[in-house]
Amino acid sequence: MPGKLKAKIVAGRHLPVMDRASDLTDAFVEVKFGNTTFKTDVCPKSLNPQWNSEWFKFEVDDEDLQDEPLQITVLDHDTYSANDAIGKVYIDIDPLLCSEAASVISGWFPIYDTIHGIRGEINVLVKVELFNDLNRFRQSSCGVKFFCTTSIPRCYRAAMVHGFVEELVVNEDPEYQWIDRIRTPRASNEARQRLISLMSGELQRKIGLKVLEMGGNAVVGYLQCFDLEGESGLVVRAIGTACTLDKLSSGSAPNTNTHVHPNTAPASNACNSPSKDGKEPVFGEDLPSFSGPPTPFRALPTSSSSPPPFSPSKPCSRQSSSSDTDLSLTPKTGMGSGGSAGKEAGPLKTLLRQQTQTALEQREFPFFTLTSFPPGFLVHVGGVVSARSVKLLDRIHNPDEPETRDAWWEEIRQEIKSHAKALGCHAVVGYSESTSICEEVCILSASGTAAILNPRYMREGCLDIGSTDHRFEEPSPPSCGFCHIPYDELNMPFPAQLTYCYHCRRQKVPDVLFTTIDMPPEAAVTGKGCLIQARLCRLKKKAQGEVNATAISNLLPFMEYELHTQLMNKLKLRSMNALFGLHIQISVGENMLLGLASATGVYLTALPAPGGIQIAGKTPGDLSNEHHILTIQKRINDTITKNKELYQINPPKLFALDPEVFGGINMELTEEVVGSPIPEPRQRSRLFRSHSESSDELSELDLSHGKKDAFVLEIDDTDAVEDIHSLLTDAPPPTGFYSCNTEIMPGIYNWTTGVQMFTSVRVFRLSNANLTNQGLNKIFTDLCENLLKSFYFKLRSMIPCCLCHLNFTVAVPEEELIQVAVTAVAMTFDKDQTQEKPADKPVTKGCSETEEQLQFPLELCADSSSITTQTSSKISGVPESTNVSPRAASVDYGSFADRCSTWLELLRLKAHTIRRGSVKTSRRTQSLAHSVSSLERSSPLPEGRSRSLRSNRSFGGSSVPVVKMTPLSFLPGTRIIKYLGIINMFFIRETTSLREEGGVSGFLHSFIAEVFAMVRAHVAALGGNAVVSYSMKECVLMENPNKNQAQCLINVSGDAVICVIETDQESMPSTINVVQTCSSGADGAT
Amino acid sequence: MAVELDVFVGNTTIMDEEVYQLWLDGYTVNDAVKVRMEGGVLEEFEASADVLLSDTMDQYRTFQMCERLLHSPAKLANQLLFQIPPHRQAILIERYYAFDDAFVREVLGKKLSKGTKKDLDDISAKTSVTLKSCRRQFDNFKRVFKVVEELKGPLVENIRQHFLLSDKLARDYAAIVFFANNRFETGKRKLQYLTFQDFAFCAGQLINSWTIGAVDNMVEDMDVDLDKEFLQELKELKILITDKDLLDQHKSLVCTALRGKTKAFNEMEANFKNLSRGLVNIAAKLTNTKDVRDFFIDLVEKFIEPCRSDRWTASDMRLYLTHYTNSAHILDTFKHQVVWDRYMGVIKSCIFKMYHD
Repeated sequence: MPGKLKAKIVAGRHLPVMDRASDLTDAFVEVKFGNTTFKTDVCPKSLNPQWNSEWFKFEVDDEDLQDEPLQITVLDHDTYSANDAIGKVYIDIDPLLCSEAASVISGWFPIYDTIHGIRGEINVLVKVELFNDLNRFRQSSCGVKFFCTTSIPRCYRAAMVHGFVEELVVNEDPEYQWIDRIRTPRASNEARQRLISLMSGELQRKIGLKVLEMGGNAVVGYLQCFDLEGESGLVVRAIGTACTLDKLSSGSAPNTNTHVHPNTAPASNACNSPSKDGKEPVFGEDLPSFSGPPTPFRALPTSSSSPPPFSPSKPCSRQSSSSDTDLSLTPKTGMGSGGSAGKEAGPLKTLLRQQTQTALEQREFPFFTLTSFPPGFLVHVGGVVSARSVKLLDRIHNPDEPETRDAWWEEIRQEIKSHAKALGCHAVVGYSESTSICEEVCILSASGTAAILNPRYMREGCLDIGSTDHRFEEPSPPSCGFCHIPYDELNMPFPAQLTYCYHCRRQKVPDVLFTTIDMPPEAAVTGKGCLIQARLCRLKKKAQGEVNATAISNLLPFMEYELHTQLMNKLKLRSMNALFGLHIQISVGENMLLGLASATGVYLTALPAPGGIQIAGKTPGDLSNEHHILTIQKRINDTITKNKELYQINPPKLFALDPEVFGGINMELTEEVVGSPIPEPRQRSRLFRSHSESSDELSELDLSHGKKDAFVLEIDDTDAVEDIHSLLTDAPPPTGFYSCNTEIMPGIYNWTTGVQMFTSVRVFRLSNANLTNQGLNKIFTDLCENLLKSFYFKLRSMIPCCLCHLNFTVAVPEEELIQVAVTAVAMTFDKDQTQEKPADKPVTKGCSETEEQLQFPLELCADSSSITTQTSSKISGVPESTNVSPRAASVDYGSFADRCSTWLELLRLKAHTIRRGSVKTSRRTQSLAHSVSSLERSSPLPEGRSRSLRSNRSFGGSSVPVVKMTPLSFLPGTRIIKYLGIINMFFIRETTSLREEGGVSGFLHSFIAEVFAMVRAHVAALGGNAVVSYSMKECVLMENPNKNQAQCLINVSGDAVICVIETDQESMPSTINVVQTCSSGADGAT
Repeated sequence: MAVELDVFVGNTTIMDEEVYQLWLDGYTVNDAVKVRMEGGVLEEFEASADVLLSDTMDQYRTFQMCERLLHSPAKLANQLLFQIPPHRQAILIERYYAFDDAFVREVLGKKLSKGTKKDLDDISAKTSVTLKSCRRQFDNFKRVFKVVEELKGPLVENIRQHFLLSDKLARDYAAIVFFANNRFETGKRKLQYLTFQDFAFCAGQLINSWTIGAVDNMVEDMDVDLDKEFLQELKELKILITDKDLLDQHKSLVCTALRGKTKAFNEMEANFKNLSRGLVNIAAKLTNTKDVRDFFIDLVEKFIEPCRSDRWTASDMRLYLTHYTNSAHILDTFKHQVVWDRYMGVIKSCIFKMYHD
């Protein structure tokens, strides 16, 4: 009997009138856990009853504690007929099972009814007493912490990252059971809500067990999803990254990660050497085990790594990261055809990555759901890997053995793994999985970013990341390391164009980098980033069963190809060279497929400058056509110029350099190029060849851009023209707005505290039955663009502001319906500082670094390879990258022209990125040192602070505590001092009076508002004042306006936290706690 | 092209004050969009009409959902559905309970009943306030009336605490409730020149001095019902006009004080008896409910109009009434000084307020 759960029902308020005669309610409460039920007395004739019940005690297994929610039902007592239910509250008690999270749940909860929505509130107190359990065969995993956040949570440090955990549980969907025919919709909805709550509890417990087995104590980046498979059942599955987390004393905790949104100018410390003089020299001894970037990683693989995953029979297939190989059907058996890629890539073994290899190879899947990492963790990034598979659903016969679904995912993961291997990477980061279901067809998708990781984090006993992160910073290639190619350049998995890194000029980098992760905080960026979306609709014939699945399988590679082309074009159009946070969603409907790719584009200083886009006609000689082409070309060029201004991408300005430096670096360049394994002559010849292929306008284009590379688009039919038009229709955000889908906007650092999280849903009905692909594309594009425009308009009062973490989800709920749901957060920033920053950056760097550079060029020329990484980081910086551009331009030119000639190759290119680290590295080191000292100062009060926050709240009278919500892992201007547990809630709402509730918009509007309210109430009851990493995983809306009915399911998740307003620690170290307590109190009270 | 569903929900509820006003004013969504377009939001923000429509719809829905809460504003502060910063809550409530002077002038003193509600379309046509807005305002009056009816304690304070209104607005509502309760006639043509603010001021005076609340502050309806005992006592004042000596004495005292101080002296002297009879008769009749209703029309007919036709200036009026009141104290046979002061204090300030064009 290892746990005692205690609950007390205090009071209710704002109850609905249940007795028409008296206009009052005789309310009482049932409290249920497992199979035990308690009841309060009836509080007669009151809409604001005071029960003040005794403590109801449940003695239960901790296994049950994890699985079951506490169920509170408010009823209206009726002497003569059955008691009427007013509504329910489900309380997940998981947060109470972990000593570090919340200790009590206390507060007002909305009473929720699936038919009527929120009907008043109830005040409840819940506590848990856990007894120590020494049973080693236990089934529970109490104490394992769960985080939705996809980075190491702010008041913890990762002692060890164990790796991938996954689990799925299946059950029959109550909505489809026979009993549903005879029970009320309310009963059916409640059965479903309860089942899913149970299933997620079970899932979490099982994952927890796996984590304990691995020796971890937490799951980070926990991603739980539902597959509503209809007739064939209900699947709840989850993935995450198991870690061993150590709690930092809360005083200093968040500083380990505050570099993500620093308030100091990144440039100001640019010339500090990256803290070799560090405060903790002790850690130096760990250095040897980490092999510096230069040599070992460049070793060639023994066996050929020429791109085996691509079968020649599929000329349209994409790069290794696409999944065309596995579009097989798996009808009844659940046996996939398996990834041919996986088998072929299997034998690949690189020689010299022993530690890493061994560390990772012990794992079945070296996957990480994290999207941002402790410094030094990420060594190189290869590019995006993804896999999709089309399956036919059938009934899950034995829910206890969900082998079929497991096998499906296993297959996909194997494929991802092999793709990563083909990219020369041993791990996949920013990994996620998703499904799209339509009737009996299901598309399973997985994607991530192939990467090489620092093995240190995965081995026991040598880790101390939190306090010593700069230690790893030093030996690792400064900031640009992650953009360096992980694969061997002579045996590249796909024909990417390589150049020397514009930052350290020692390693090769690709010309474009695509990733699914957040931009590493130390990456150097030129200008600002922006949201880039590729949107696509494809009609398909209605079909059943295998025919349908085959049709879908056949369409998928084309869609991926087109999405990729669009992304690439749009990236070029914005003069950027890298994508972060890439998320490609393909949704299946009865008669169409929707594809939406979102990412944040940036100009990484370490990567070569992107070229322009060139239009070429297929039929030269046609004069009118040529004129047309010219006009389009001009528009494109204008757009590029405009975009450069808009996003402040202006590296050319740095040409104005001291000639001496210029010369020095040029010399170095030549040497490098000559010694490079990609001989220049080859480039040239390619360049010429492509030049002759392309049209005469090329030279004009080059002049207008001052760049030597171009990306050629051929206009050979109307489709292409449409494509180009759609390329140009994307409106830039209005002045004062920026947007991105990553955690933070590259190029903006000075966030202020204004935060507005929102969810928006639009459903579009296609009226015309005879739609073409083009027509559909236009509609879909307009839908997305208009949504964005609406956001900008609505949030105009927050200017200057940035929409962060714009997360679009598309679905085809019915034939002829397109649904787009967006959750994002608008954050304000300080405009003045931003304007300063771009100017500031080059200038400071320019003057401070030029000096140093003057001293180094000769050395560089003489023996560039022997220079320590540290020096290379020193000379890195903007001036350098500009110097490189002439050379890079020529190389790039070749690359692009070459690629145009074979689309296939273009497809296969997946991108890579660079960051410039030296600058921020040193800054971070500072803030770290800072954090250490502030820790000492402020450590005594961690508990006290949260308590005072709580008491302030409760004394705040009747006013409701403010709970902020954000999809990001932090709130600007605040520090998270405590994680209170995961929020994972599932709600169903149904109505049979749709018109009366304001139509389907009114219905959904109030439902979303209710969901927000319930999330806030739960967080507040845990003692929190914010939800971070909030996301709406599912929003399934079914409507039947003719019957005046609608039903909606929403699943949301996030991490409940306590955060306090960040004060200037330098100025008032001693009073800091007081200030924070006050401010947080004020925050809570307002 | 048909957007079937379009919603936007913020964690902090987003409300545009301009749209809120349009909603309160009873504009339909389409009309509101037109108004906004003319207002130039579009040019300012390069948005299209669609964007504006979608935004307006969202906001209207939000307001509709909030309306239930606004009916008992205290709920707005501790409801969980909408997260609205306190200062915004205050704005929402204040604006929701704000009313058009033109409208309130029409219903002031009328019974807040269904019958009156049926006349709202006429009022709407007359005042060019939309019917929807009229209904809202009328329902607000009625709601406040119903709630404070059953409460003890000072009227203004009750309204302020129950509906979380500003002091000014609470006073206006107190006036409306007071007028509705006593059914003062305000609609006659002769009273048309008076604004709501004139009446509200007078109501404040009456509430402060003539109600039960002025003497006892713990009874129900203390501020809405006039003090019956006081009204009874007012009859005693008749002696000022029935006793010939007293009347003459009073007149001579007043005239002595006024002589040479005003151009209108002759008219004052000539009209003294008439005016005095007017005021004292009003006092004496107030025991009849019917005459209470006609209080304002009597004041105008019996006092303000004669003075106006004699072209008294506002300061003449002040001078006259001050001396008229004070002189009564010197009359040795006049024993009802306290009642006289309580009566004249209100009459004086009401007439000062009402004496304009």
